[in-house]
Amino acid sequence: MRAETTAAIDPASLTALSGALLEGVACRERTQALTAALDTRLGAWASGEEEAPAARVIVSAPHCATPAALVEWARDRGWTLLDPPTTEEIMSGGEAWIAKLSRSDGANCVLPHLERCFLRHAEGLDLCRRLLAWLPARPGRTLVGCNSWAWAFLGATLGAEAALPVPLALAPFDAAALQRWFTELLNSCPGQATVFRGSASGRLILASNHGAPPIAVGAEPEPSDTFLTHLAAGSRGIAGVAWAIWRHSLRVSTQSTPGEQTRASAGADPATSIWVKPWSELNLPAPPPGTRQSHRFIFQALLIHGGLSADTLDTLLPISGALLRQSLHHLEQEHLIERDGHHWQVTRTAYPAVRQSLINEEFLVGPL
Amino acid sequence: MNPTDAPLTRIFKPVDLQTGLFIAGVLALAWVLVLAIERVLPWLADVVPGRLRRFILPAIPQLRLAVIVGTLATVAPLLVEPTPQNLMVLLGTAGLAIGFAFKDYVASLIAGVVAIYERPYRPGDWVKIGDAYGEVQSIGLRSLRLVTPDDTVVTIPHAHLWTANIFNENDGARTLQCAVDFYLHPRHDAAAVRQKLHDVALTSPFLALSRPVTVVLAEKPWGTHYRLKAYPIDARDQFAFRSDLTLRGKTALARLGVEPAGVPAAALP
Repeated sequence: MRAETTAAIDPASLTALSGALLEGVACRERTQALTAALDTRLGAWASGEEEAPAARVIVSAPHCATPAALVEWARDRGWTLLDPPTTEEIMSGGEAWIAKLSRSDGANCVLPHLERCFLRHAEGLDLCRRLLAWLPARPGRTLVGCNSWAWAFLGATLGAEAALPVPLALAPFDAAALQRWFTELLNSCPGQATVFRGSASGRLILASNHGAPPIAVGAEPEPSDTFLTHLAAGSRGIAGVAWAIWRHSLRVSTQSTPGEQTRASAGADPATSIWVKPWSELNLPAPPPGTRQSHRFIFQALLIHGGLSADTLDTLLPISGALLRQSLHHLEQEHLIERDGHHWQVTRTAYPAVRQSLINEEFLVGPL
Repeated sequence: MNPTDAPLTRIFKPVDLQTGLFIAGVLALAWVLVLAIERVLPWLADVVPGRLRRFILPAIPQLRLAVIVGTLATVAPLLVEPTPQNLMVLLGTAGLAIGFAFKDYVASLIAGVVAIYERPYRPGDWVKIGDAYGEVQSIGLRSLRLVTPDDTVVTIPHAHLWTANIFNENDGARTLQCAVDFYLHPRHDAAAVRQKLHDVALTSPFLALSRPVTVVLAEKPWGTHYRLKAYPIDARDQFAFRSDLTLRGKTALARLGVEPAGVPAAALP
C-alpha cells in the first residue's frame, strides 16, 4: 500500500523528464473514449430515430481531440468524410466546391473542420456562407465539427447559429475526470509502476494500477494533493491543454526517495517516483503586459482558423511581411506559438493565458 | 495705534511657529499628492488591461480638485478669523482684483470645474474643439491638453466651453465610429458592392465584432458614394483601422471589377 504522504523533495534535485520517460508515463491521448461518447449521444440521431435537425454541429475547444474522433466515428459508421476546401477554392467563392459536395446524393456526411472552410478575408467568407445555407437543406444527415473560436466568429458574422442550431460540446474535465483519464493513460503507457507526488507537499496525486480493472466513475481514490483541482481550473477543463500542462509539470529526482530505497532493499520492484511541481511554480508561458496589437491579431487569427501558415497570415493580417516573421519568431521564442508542419498554432500550455489576454482587450473569443 | 491697521489685523489670525509649520506641511503634502496623482495614475492606465483605462484616466482631475479643496478647507480657518465682517472684506477685495485682472483666467477655472461635472470631455475622449481634433490627454484647472493624430499637443482653455461646440466622438467609451468613403463609377452592381464592403469590415482584425457594421450609399451626379461605418476595438487604432478598411476595400472592389468615379473637385468635401 503506497503511503499517501512522504517527505517533500529537494527542488534542486529535480530535473525535467527525458522524452522516453515522458512517453512512458504520459503518452499520447487516444480517441476511443470520445468516439464512444459521440455514439452514445448521437446514435439515435445518426440512425434516423430522432427528428430534425438534419445538420448538427459539435463545437470543441482548441487542442481537443474531437476532430480526430469525428473522423474515426465517420469511418466506423461508413459515413462520407468531407475534405475541407483548399485556400484557392475558398478565395474563389466556393461554388465549384459546393457543387462537388452536392453530388454526394443524400449520403450521410461528416465535416470535421468547419474552421477550415473560410478565411477572414473579403474573398474568404462566401464559401462558408453558401455552405451554411446548403447544409440544413441537403438530404441526408450531416455532422459538422467546429472549433469554438471559429464558431463564435461565424455566429457574429454569418449567423451560423441559425443554420446549425443547438450545438453540442464535450463536458469540461473536472479534477476527478482528469484523475481517471490520466490513470487510464498511465496504465496504457509502456512503463513500470509509477507514483506521482507533489514535490512541495510529498502528497500522492496519482498512481499506476497496471493489470487492475478500470476504476468506476465516482469510485476514484481521493488524491491528497490539490494539483489536479488547480489543473482542471487552470486548463478550463480542456483535456488537451490539461494533458500538456501535466507533462510540463513532471520532474524526476536525481536522488532516490526513502520509500524507493526500502522497496529496493526488500527485493521488490521499485515504483518510479515522478514529482509534480506545485501549480504556483509552473511558470506557464503567458503574453506579457503591454503585448503589441500585432501579436494579439496573430493569436486571434490562429485560434479562429485552428492554425495558419505564415503566408496565409500575411494575406489576412495588416502586418508587413518582415514584421510578421519577426513577430512569429519572437512568439515562438516565448513558447506562445509553435509550428505544426507548415502551420503555426497557439501552444497548449499558453492557451489559457492567451485567451485571457484577448478577453482583457475585448477581442472576440471562443466560448471554450 | 493707527486706526486703519485695526480691521486688517482683526481679519487674519496671528500665526505662531507651530501653526506656520503645520500650514507648510499641509501645503507640501498637497503638492506631493497632486504630483503623485498626475504621475502614477497615467502610468497605471497604461499597464492595466485596456478596458479599465477609461475608468482610471477620468479620475485624475477629480482627485486633484479634491486635494485642492481639502487643502483650502484645512488652511483657511487657520489664517482667517471667520467673522462675517472679515469674510465680506476679504471677498470684496479679492473679487475686485480678480474681476479686473483675472477675468478670463477665472472664467476658465470655473469652466474647468463645470467640465468635471458636466463631462463634455474627459481624459481618453477623442474630441473636436474648433480646428483641433485629438485625444484628451489631461484636464487641468484652467485648460485641457489634447494630442492630435500628428502627435501635436494642443492646450485649450476651458472657457471655450461657454461658446464653442464640442464634438465628442466616444464620450467615455473605449471605441468610436469610423467611416471610410468610396466613390464609384455609376455602372456597377450596388447590392454586390454593398455586401462586399460589409465583408471588408468583418474581416478587419481591428473590428469590434459586437458593434454594428453599416454601409450607406448615396447616388450622386458623378457616381455612387459609399460610406462604410464600423467600430474598432480601441479608439486609438482608428487611423490604422480606417487605413485597413480602405486597403481591403480597394482590393475587393478591384476584384469585383468596379471602377472608381471621376469626382469633380467642386463636389469633394
